[in-house]
Amino acid sequence: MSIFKELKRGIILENPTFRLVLGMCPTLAVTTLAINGIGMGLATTAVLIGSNVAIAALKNLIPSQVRIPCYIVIISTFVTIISMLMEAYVYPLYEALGIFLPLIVVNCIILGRAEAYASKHSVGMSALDGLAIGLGFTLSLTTIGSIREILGAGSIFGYALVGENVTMATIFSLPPGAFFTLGTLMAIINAVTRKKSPRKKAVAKREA
Amino acid sequence: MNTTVKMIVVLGLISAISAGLLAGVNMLTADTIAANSEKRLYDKLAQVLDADEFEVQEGTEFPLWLGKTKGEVVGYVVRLTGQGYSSDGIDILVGMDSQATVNGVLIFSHSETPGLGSKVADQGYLAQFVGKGLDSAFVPGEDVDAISGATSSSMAVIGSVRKAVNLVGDFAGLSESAGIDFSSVPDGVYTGKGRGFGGDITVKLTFAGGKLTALEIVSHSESPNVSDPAIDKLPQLIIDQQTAEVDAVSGATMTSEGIIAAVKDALAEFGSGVEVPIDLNSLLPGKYTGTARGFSSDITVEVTVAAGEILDIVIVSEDDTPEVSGPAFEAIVTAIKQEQSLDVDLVSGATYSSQGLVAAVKDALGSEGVLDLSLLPDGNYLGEAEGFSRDPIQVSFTIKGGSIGSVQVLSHNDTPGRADEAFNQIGPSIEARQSLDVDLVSGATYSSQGMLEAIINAIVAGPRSGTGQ
Amino acid sequence: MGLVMIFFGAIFFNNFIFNRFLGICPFLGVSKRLDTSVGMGIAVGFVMTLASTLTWLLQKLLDLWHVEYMQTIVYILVIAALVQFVEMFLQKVSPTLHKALGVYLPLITTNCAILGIAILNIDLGYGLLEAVIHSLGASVGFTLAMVILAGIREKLELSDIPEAFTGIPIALITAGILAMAFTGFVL
Repeated sequence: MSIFKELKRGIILENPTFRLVLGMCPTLAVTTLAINGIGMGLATTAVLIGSNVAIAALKNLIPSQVRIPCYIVIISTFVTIISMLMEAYVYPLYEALGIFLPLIVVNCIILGRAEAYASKHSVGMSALDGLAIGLGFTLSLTTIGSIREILGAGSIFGYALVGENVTMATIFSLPPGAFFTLGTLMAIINAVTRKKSPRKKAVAKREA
Repeated sequence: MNTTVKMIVVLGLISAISAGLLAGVNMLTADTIAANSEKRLYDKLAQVLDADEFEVQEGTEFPLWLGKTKGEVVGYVVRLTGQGYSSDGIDILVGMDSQATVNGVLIFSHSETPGLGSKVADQGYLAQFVGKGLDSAFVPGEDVDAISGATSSSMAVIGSVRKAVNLVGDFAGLSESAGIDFSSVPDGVYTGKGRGFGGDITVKLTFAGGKLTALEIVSHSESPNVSDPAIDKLPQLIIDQQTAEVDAVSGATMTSEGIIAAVKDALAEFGSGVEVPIDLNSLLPGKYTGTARGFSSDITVEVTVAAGEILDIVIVSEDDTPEVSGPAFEAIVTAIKQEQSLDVDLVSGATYSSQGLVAAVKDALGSEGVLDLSLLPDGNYLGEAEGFSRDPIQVSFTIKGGSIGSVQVLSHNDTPGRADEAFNQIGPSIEARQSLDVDLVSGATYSSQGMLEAIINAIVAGPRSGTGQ
Repeated sequence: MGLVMIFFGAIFFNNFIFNRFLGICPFLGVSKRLDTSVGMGIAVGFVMTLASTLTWLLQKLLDLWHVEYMQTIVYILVIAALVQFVEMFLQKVSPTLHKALGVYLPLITTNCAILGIAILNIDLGYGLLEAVIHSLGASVGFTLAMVILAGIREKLELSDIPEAFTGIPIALITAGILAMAFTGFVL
């Protein structure tokens, strides 16, 4: 029960992209294709779970004055490990994510979860939190990636949806399309959730 | 205090653990990563050149691979970065066959504008380079297409391909090989260097009677057994065929190529199409005359050179249209004197005359000049040269106000008496004539020549520092 | 020529915000007002240039010891320490400047533009001077993007926008249109 609650919290209520507006750089940059969205999302999830677990395990050991440097070291260790593994075993994805792979280190989602959750909860719960938030991030990125790939390249996960002679809206594969897609999606989500509960409207407005 | 220690210990410990972890993962993945990246590279190489294996060539200006099939070099691949529109550059692979004819071109990576500059990466565009070689022209819009609206990207690719062809041409010795005509090489001994398998190979060539009579490998550091066939057979092969264009001895390809390159290096100045830049500093002070064809007649010039500088250019004779060529000549002469180089702008409207004049000056500087002692800077000079005994003859003299004096032989090991007599005759006659154009003393010709050579060497060396007088 | 190209390339063709997507968080977060945008831009430019120089030199050490895989961890620690140091230094030396830039400094450690440019400099194989010019150009480009967006957002405050679009969504759409303009430099 609590697992589902946690997952729901991570994926919907506290969705890092659409609700908390965190980790915007990779969200905009790598989502030209759906597969890149999944790849980035899963890489971030792996780092998130790893760092959450490590920080939760070490939370009593780390003096609070140096906790941020310690978190940074732990996070960048996991990022480097993931990126080495990806370079070795899934090179095309490694190449597509490019500089945004090492930049997971400065993704505010991860440091945010370390500070707000892992440093206060048990190892198991922190792992679950990492998974939930990570999946929320992955889902958002994949959604944006799919939309951009369909509109910009006329394919989904590399499978062509339209014939070769159909001209697609290339702008969605280019940087402006990233802003348009994310902005519109956010507005749609805002519209839907605001109708549902007027109380959240205030929250959404404050966050904006 | 206690918390400070704890802080440092914890942070240090965490850092140490993470460094250890990273080192471990690095060890686990490094081989796979290296193997993958090598495989990707070789896959790309194979796309531009059909060969069984590729071998990295060390020590070249740009990454170069030798493509080999059954141990024979079948072609080359060069990797270059062209400066296109994006500041990140266009990374290009050019595959060529053994004659530097383009076999395939591939863009490794680029950040040109998608949909525009990126079109240069299309195989359809790149295919146009296939078949281009050393003799091909690369004029955009005429010989090769440039993509309209993406000129800088296109130019970067065109330039890179041409550069790659030239690089391989140079590397394989194709550019200058076109015509080293052994019969045109003046008699004498030439040495040259070429890179073999283990390092430089030095060869000594002896030309006599208009042909190569001996080829000696002076030094090399090739592996003894492997390179033996090449070192044993190749010199005789080159002598027999009287050309450097011989086939490599199989099994010792690198060594063979090294020897061939060394031969070409030794004879580089006689290859057609290779211009040896004129080094003004190597010219003796004096007057040089040369002739070249102008617009309607031959132009003859007399160029005065001293201390590595072109002092004056006098047009001795010309018959070009005066009202057109006169100002042009003046402009060119001024420009050459100012730039101290023959690389000057031609005067438009009188292109042929200008070109002719520049060519005449070039011809003059390449000729054997007349030494003019009066152009030498003042000072004490000291030089030595081989005399009759093969031991050095050491000569000193002074130049003061443009005239030569105190010509003395300081030491020599030639036949006493006879040589001394020659030296005593030549010294004063040089001073009297103010020229090195003096009669040699019969019976002591070698000693006389040695003395004159020593004087020339002294002139080349320049006045010694701390000139007294 | 090369340096000029790098400088203007970093401002227009490869604008950090509109083309490379680096530093989006402060771009969206701080661009509500014009004066804060300028402040943030200057603070980022300052730290970026310092960090580029420092990390470029450190990379030489990493290469020397063959521990290139430590790049990310070393860079981020250096940047964090640098930001701390700059903050302390400014507080001591120029309280006015500290007051102006101080609030932005803590935000900068997790600004991916800083770590991004440090890694980019190495990936692109820049020399030290090129790296510094690149950072200067990038920070000018970053500030330019912030200032333009802030100017528009100040006006947007007064406009009648569909409610669902208020805040971040409309900022993103605006940024998208600006990005189209910047794409024009490339085409």
